[in-house]
Amino acid sequence: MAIIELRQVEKIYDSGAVPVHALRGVSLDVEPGEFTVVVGPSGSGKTTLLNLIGGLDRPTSGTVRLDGTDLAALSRSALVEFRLHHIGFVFQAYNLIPVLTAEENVEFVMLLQGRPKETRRKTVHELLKAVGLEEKMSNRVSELSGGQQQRVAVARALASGPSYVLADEPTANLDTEAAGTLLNIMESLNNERKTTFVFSTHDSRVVERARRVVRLVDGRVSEDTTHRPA
Amino acid sequence: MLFQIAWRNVLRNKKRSLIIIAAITCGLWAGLVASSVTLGFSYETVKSALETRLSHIQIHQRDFSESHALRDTIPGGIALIERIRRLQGIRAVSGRLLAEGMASTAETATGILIAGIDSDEERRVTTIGQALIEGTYATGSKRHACVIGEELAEKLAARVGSKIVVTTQDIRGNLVGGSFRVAGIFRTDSTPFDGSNVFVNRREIARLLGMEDRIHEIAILLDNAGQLESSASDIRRLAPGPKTETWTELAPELRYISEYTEVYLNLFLYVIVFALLFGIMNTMLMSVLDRIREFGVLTAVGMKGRKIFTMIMLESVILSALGAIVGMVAGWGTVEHLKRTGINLATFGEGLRQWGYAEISYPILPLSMFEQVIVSIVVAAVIGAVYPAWKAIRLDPAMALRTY
Ligand SMILES: Nc1ncnc2c1ncn2[C@@H]1O[C@H](COP(=O)(O)OP(=O)(O)O)[C@@H](O)[C@H]1O
Ligand SMILES: [Mg+2]
Repeated sequence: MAIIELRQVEKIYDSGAVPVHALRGVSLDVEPGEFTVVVGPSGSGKTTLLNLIGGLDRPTSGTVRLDGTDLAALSRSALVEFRLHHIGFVFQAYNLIPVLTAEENVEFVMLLQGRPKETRRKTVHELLKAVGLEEKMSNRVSELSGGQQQRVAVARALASGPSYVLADEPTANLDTEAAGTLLNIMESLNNERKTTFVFSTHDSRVVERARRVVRLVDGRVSEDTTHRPA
Repeated sequence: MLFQIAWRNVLRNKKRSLIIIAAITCGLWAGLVASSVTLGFSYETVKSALETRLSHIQIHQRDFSESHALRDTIPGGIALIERIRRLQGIRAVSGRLLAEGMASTAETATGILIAGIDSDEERRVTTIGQALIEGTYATGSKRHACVIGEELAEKLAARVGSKIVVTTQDIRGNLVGGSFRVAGIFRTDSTPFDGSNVFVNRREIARLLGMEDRIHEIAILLDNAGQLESSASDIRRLAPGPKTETWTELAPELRYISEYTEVYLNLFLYVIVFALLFGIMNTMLMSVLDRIREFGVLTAVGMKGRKIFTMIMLESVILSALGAIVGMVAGWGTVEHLKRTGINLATFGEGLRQWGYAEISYPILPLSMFEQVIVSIVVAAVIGAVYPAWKAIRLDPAMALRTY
């Protein structure tokens, strides 16, 4: 069963002077364990799509089912709780809590979940090791480079034990090397832990390495290709 | 965890935090110092009036307060003094014989109030004995001695040792007079009092007036001023005939001073805290608006609005509490210092003494004032943070996180 299920989803922003048709009927299924990249030019609707998949926004029409739950059935506060337990987030930039250390940032979501201290400690170590930052555990995030911060963000996204992880242009602010490292980490997490990733990019280096590519143009899916693993 | 994050957020923008902390500190410091100075001043004024003349409770014959007639003495007054002395909680009792008259020297003559006292009794009730600037208070030690105020001495151009002639009417209405030698000169907080009162030996003046063993007034000092009402009713039970009045009945204006000072000071503190509330609100609002993205991230990863709200409240309370603590410590320190030095209002002294206000006072900082400051500043911190916190939790995460 698909963990992400979009049917005829439309999103119209009508806050401005002219309504903006950001998504025009998108249907999409993501299976557990998939490594999916959403590509498309700027303004094609990638962020809008990921916000819907992340339960951060609601569609104007159509249905969004996440992990078997219809988004429309969840109240505002139920949605917060749903995100806490089901979804991990990595954003484009600046998305860690600056007053916390790397370790505390990863621990934070588990604290919100009310998990016991032992579990938290163990998970934090494991995840920071997985993203290669065990040495930087007790550093304030402001002392870390952009690439390192994104790796902490990946660790935090996984800490809650989510069904899938969303990353909106995670490499956009990174240089080639840091972007490569981040992709390697996400790939190996996908391989080893079967973590489902959906991320957006307009970076061609990233697209080459994706197994499934969903291309958006003007709010429509223009291409959806799955490559056989090499 | 929330507290820890809130604490770090307070430390995050040090300049902004310091500014609001300094504002709260200054406001509360000024409020506390001004309040305790005012409280001390009002306390000293009341105390001085009680100590120089009024005492805690007075007894008169029923008609005396209206008539001020010589004949309206307290029946069995001298014996009553002894009986009251034996009651519980009574520190001292003094019987006074009162008459109006004229005092004259070679220079001039002026109207006076003559109080015939037993100086051993009276010095335990009032502090005029301690307010002597010259001579002695013991009117009984020498024959025909009197004690007068500085103001009267100046009017009469009299010094210790000078003779003054006192003229009055005796109980039968005859004009009588006697010459008294000034044994001592006192100075209280009230120039009108010092300009009109002459203390003489009770037995001597009684003989002059033909009123042996009669008194008009019994002044009573209690061990504990808080026992005022219960002691008054004890005395009323003991002596139902004459009129027993507490100082609050005798001098309602003094009661208003002590009661309304407190009300006024509370109001004063609340006004300060109310003004600070807007400072707190402004600081919290700036802090929230600076962190819109961060609140977007927090909501996105699953932090509930209630927790975010609490976190912002905590930040506000921490900021305000820091300001309050520093302000209270500074206020306390200043008050302690002023307690040691005393506050001398002598520059306005003459004016103040005209009205019977104390010249030197000592600030009073009751614990209840700290309690009020803490409670009201925490309330202000919470109220001040409500709007900013509400703004933070109302954020649409998708909007807050958007990077164009
Ligand atoms: N909150 C909004 N209000 C109005 N228009 C918006 C809003 N968010 C996005 N848009 C518009 O919707 C379209 C899709 O935007 P977006 O999803 O951010 O695309 P992408 O992430 O691919 O660049 C764009 O034209 C953008 O200007
Ligand atoms: Mg985008």
